[in-house]
Order: sequence, then structure tokens, then C-alpha cells
Amino acid sequence: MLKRKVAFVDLSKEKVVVEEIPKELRKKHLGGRGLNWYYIYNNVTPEVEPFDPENLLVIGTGFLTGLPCLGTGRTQISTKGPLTKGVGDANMGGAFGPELRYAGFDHLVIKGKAKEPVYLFVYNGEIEIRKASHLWGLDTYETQKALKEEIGDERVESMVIGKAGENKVYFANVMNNIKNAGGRGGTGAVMGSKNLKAIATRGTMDMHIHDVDKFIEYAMQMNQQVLSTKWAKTLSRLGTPLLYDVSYTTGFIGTMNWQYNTPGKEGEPLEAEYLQDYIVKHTACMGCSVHCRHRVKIERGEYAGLITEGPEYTMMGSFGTLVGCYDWDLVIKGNDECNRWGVDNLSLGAIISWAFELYQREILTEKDVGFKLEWGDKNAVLELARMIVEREEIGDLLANGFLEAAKKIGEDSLYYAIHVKGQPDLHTDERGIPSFALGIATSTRGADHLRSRPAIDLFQLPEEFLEKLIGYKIKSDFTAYETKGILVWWFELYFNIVDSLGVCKFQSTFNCPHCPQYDEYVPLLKYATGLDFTKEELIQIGERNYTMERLFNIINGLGKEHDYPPERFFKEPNKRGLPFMKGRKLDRDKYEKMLMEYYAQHGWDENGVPKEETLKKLGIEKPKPNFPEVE
Amino acid sequence: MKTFLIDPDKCTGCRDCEMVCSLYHEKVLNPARSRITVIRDPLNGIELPAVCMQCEDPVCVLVCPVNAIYVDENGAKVIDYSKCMGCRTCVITCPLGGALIDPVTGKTIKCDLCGGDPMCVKFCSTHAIEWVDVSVANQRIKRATLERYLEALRKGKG
Amino acid sequence: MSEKYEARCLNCRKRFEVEKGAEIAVCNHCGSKWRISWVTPEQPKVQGPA
Repeated sequence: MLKRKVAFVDLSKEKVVVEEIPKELRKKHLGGRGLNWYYIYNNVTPEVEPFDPENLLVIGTGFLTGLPCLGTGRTQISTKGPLTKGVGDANMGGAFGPELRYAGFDHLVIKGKAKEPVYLFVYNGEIEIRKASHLWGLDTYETQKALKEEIGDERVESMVIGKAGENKVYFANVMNNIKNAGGRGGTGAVMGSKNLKAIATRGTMDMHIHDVDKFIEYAMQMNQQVLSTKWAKTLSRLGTPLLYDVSYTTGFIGTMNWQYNTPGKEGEPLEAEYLQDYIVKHTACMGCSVHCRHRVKIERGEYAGLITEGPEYTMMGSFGTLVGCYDWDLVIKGNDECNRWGVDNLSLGAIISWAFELYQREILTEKDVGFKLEWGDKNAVLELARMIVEREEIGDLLANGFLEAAKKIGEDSLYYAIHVKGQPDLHTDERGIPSFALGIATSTRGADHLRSRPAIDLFQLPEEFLEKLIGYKIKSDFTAYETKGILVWWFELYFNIVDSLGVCKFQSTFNCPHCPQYDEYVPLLKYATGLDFTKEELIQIGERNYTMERLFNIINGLGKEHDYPPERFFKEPNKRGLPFMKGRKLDRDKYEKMLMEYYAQHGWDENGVPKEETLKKLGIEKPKPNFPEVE
Repeated sequence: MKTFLIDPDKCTGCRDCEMVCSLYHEKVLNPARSRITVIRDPLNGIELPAVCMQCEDPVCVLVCPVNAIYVDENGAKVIDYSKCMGCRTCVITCPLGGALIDPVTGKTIKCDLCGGDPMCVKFCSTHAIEWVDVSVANQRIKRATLERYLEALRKGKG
Repeated sequence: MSEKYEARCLNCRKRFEVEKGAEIAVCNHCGSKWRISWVTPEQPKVQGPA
């Protein structure tokens, strides 16, 4: 797992430089997300705009990507993102990352812009820049099929963009296979801006494990530990839609653009159990024993005959509760379209539902849109989605995200835009859960649940248990603000390590306190890589990596004023839900105290800027460009 | 006597089997060097594990010009590399794709049952591949076949 | 006596007993009534309000 390679690719100069990743960088950043941000922090200066050729697009496999345990099929895609003009970062499952490693590379650092559409072919230590004009315009499925055929190997794994990326829709994805998405932060748009349609890879090179016998035994033990949890058993059967049952019953699912916090009884048809009727088979990412995904088939109705994969919980908001539709057919159909287009369904859903509410409030009219945007009209949802991806008429405006669109529609409209730092929120309604609210607000990539969400906060676990897990006294009550700054801090560092190792969050402490975490990663790293880390060292790597992302945001103008959840969550109380959820909203003073507690825990000052002593302790220096000069 | 029982409907395409097979036999991670292969095409909805079924009357043993394949105490058809010359005759003639070529060494490789306790089975979380007693396998196959038959009957009546 | 299994109540967040195969169950701590689905024959979960 050591002596692995990073390739620096300059698309403008059509040159590739390959270097070995030094052990010292592994000790400081591990790999994946951590190492990606080491390259961007040092090489992308504030004057570089997201779509400038000088921006970097970094693809990084986790330090443990490609192992037969813990769902390590993951890849991180990082860039300066168009939505926030700061950290643009996405983590993708599937099989691309492992294949890239078998092809000899852990990281690809890409800069420049190709003169015409190209794709990269990465094969057993070699990287070729190939013409892709014939692929431009194809959807993500067609592109991957064409690449397999053209290369002549059915085991080729590709990371591609679709229409959304080509059209530089600000929230475009990169995609692998049907539903593996590098899905937040507009990485697909940056890829499109570089005229890079795809990265295809195939490898038959060895990956070395330090202690094979111990590793095999431990990997099996890790898989058993995960599979024995109730969480994994539920996930194996229902996939992430299982979360819907909890959120719509309790009342923390954005409904009709967050005017409500649950559809109530009306939302019953979307209960996870009803997806069972569509399931053909369970499938998994590479190296995953849980298989949280479904292959589904629509048997009847308008979309009869459609076979696809997914949908995830996020889509149940985007093409479900957020727009007042409660129909699995639409969720599945919409999900398939989003995957073909290569667009982030979370962001797309939040922007569509925003437009629907603006229409309800007559800020947007039928004349602006071309048709009516009435809650529950599924054809209107699909049509507006298509227009955004194709950048047709009003879609062209919405494709640039809330902040750009509001410049034309009117700044007042931003009150109804549920976002942080310009990144649309997923469909969760965080106003009743302070730790969730702080998490979306401080997330370096803007509103998001996968950077810190302490989902286990909802379980109201015993405080002794929490103290053992987190190392600090944490209040069991999930409606409390006190100590939740520390809880969010802990999960920020922990999720950074999970992303830097390439482990799947669904096999981490995210939703299940009994899944493997630091204590298990220490021996796993030892057996796989031969490197000794202590738990404390891993936590410090998490802090270092996270602080570098924070610094990148700060130098790009994203400071304390951008660390707040949407204004609406402070002003309008929950209208529905279980008795303890009804009437809840965020308290500004308590939030402010929680934010200060959080900054202090990180070693940042009262403006959220990392203190000098913190940087010194973590060994973070001023950015020093290190992209190799090529002729 | 034991046999592999493979159920493609349960295979998720995670390829833990391939990874652990290469680790166990070659001491490296490299699915391309695995004895078991998942024919996998998620874009067209296919996951199909394929491995040597340890035939009773194996064509590989029959066609090997240097008699390099022997039967061990577990019934595994194992390649004796002191004899194997890598002529690929077994690779070409096996109707199940059970013999393969290692892309790194060029050697012919095939499943040897890991000494009687196959690693792929241990790592398969959905039991898409099992190594079970023949009588158990027979019962299960019979049951699955009858269930399909009954379902077809019911559909016919419905 | 029939076998007992546990699910987590969404109202009081405590684990409560559910009878094998039950489609409806009441939390013995807070009295909330839930529709139940079964992840495995041994593992019930709250599906939604009854």
C-alpha cells in the first residue's frame, strides 16, 4: 500500500508527470480526501475561478481503497467548486477507485483545459489522453458502454460526466456505472469546463498488503462486526430509504420546500417497505458486504419497463416530499434521469422546490417558467429538471445555483432558498435538531450531511456510552445545544478520516455506534500498509485535513458569516411531526454559543479562523505550489 | 462429498471473493489474478460468479499433455507447477471457464479449494457461493426448481 | 408464550417489545402506537404511525 503513484496531468500541454507518493505525506494526510486537499490547498490560489484552466480537479483513492472489507470501493473527487467558490468535494462509491489502484495510481491531479473533448485512459501505469468528440453529448450510461466497447475490455471502469457536466450545470456530478455519484460540489461541471468527458481505467497490477495472513483474518472480523449490527441488517434489506420511515414519522423531512417538516399521512406511500415491490436484486459497491443498493424495475404505469438502480433516500426528498409528490414511480424515474444526466439530485431537488415555492408566492410566474409549478405535478418536476440540465430558458438561470439565480430573480427570494455557502441542503429539516443544524452550517463543502452529521444523536444514547465513544461529556438529549459543538467537531474529524481511508460511511459510526471506528482502523492500517498509527494520531490527521479545508474556504472568502443554517430555520417553527418536534425552531443565542464552543474545540478563534498556534501544532504551512512544471 | 452451490441472484457484484482469492493464493490484491471471476456488467444488470466446479470427469485432466493436473484429498483438481508448461489447453477446453491465465506471471491458474475451506465462500456475505455437502446441494436445487415450477403453475391459473 | 422482539420507539427513542410477526405494536414506555415492518423474521422496526 506504500510506494503508490500520483499522476499530474496537464490537459492544456497534454503532458503527464508521475511521482511516487512520499510516506511522509501518508503520515500527515493518509490519502483520499486528505491528500486531495493537500494538493489543492497548495496549488489553487484565490484568484483562480472554478472554471479557469488553472483550477485543479483531483481524483483520489482512499489509503485503504480496494480492500475486501468495510466498503472500501470509494474515491474522492475534489476541486474549487462553482457553487460555493470554495471547497468542492465529492465522495463516490462503485468500482472506479479500486480499478484505478489496480491500474497503478492512487491520485490524479488534473489541471488545464483540453482544446477539444478528451478522455483519459489509465492502464497499468500508463496514462493516455484520447479524443472524445464522439462521446460528447452521450449520457453517462451510453458513454461508459461506448468506452468499454472502444477499449475492448468489459472490466473497464469509468468516471464520466453527462449532459449536466458538459453544460457546466453548477451541481453536476461525475458518475461511475449506473448510480455511483461524485455527487456534491459541482465536480462534474469543473470536469466539463476542462473538456474532460471521462476517465477510463483498467488495471491488472498487484497491490501489496503488508501482512496478508493477519489482514485476511481481520478483514473477515471487520465484515462480521458490521453485519452483526441491526443497522446493517436494515440497510441490507431497505437501503437508505429506511431513513424515510424515521424522518417523515418524526418530522424532520423538508416538505413543499421546507414549508413543512413532514407530509404526514400523505407521505405514507413512500415508506421504505413499499419499495420492495420494485426490487429485482441487491447490489453492492466493490469490497462491500452490506449491499445497500437495489436494482429495481417498474412493472406498471407510465414508466413500465424501466430497469435501473437506486433510488437513495435523498431522491425521496428531491422528487418526493420537497415537491409534494408521493409516488415511488416518479422517484425511481427521476433518479434514473438524474443519473443519466449526471446531476446532483439533492441540489437539483432543492432548486426545483425553491422555484415551486417562488411560484406559489407569485415571485415566479407562468410567464417566467413557461408552465405552472403546482405542488404534486410530477410532469412539471421532470420538465423543469430537464430544462435545468439542458440550460433551456429559465433552466439556464437555475443551473447556476441559488446565489447566481437570485441576482436575477431578486435577493428576497433567497429566504426560501435552503442552502449554506450557496450549496443547497439535502431534504432533511434540521431546525429541530441543533447538532444537525450546526453540521450543515460548518460543513466545508456547504450544506451537507456527510461531513459531520452525528446521526446517532437521535438515539439519545446513555451519556456514559457517549463519553466513551467521543472522549468528552456529551448531552444525550438531541434537542440540547450544549456540548453539541464538540459532537459535531468529533464527527468532522472522524468523517475526514473515513473519507481519507476510502471506507464507506455506512460501515462507520455514522448511523450505528457499534460499527468499526478508530480502534479498528489502527490494526487495519497496520496489517494493510505496515504503518503504525495511534488513535490520537489519526484524530490529529483528521484535524489537520479538516483545518486545511477550512483555510481554503477562508482564503476564498468563506468565514464565520457563512457558518449559519438557513434563516428560515430560526424564524419559522416546525408545523407538524411528533409532539416533541412540533413547534421547534433554532434559537439564535444558543446557536451562537454552540458555534463558539465548536470553534474553540477546533482551536479556531471567535471568527472561525484557525489560530497560529493551532496551525503550528498541526504542521500546516502557507501554501507552496508543487504541481510539477512540464514543458 | 462437497460441491459449490452458486446462486447468481444473490451475487451483489462486490467482488470480495476475487480480492480475497488473489490475496490467499498470490499474497497480493489483484482481482485479475483470482481463480474465481464475477462476470459483472452493472450497466446491463449482470453479476455472475464463475469458478471451476471440480468436475467428476474433468476435461482439463484429460487433455493436459504433461499430466500436470492431479486430484488432491479434497477432490480439488490442482495444477502441479513442476510439470505445467502453460500450454493453455485446459484453458481452451474447459467448458466452464474454470482455468485462467495469470496476467502477471503468465501461468495457468485454477481453483484449488484453498485446501478444503474456500476463502471466497468465507467472504461471501450473501451466500451467493457456498461449499456444501452434495446431498444438501441436491435438496436445495430441487426445492428451488419446484418453487419455480409452482410459481409458474400459479401464474398460469391466475 | 410467544417470542418477543425489540424495536426502537420513534417518540421516546427507547426500545420496546414487539410480538413475533406483529403488524401493529404499542410502546410500553410512552404508549405510542406504531405500524411494524420486519427487516428479518427476528428484527422488527417502526414503519410508520398506526
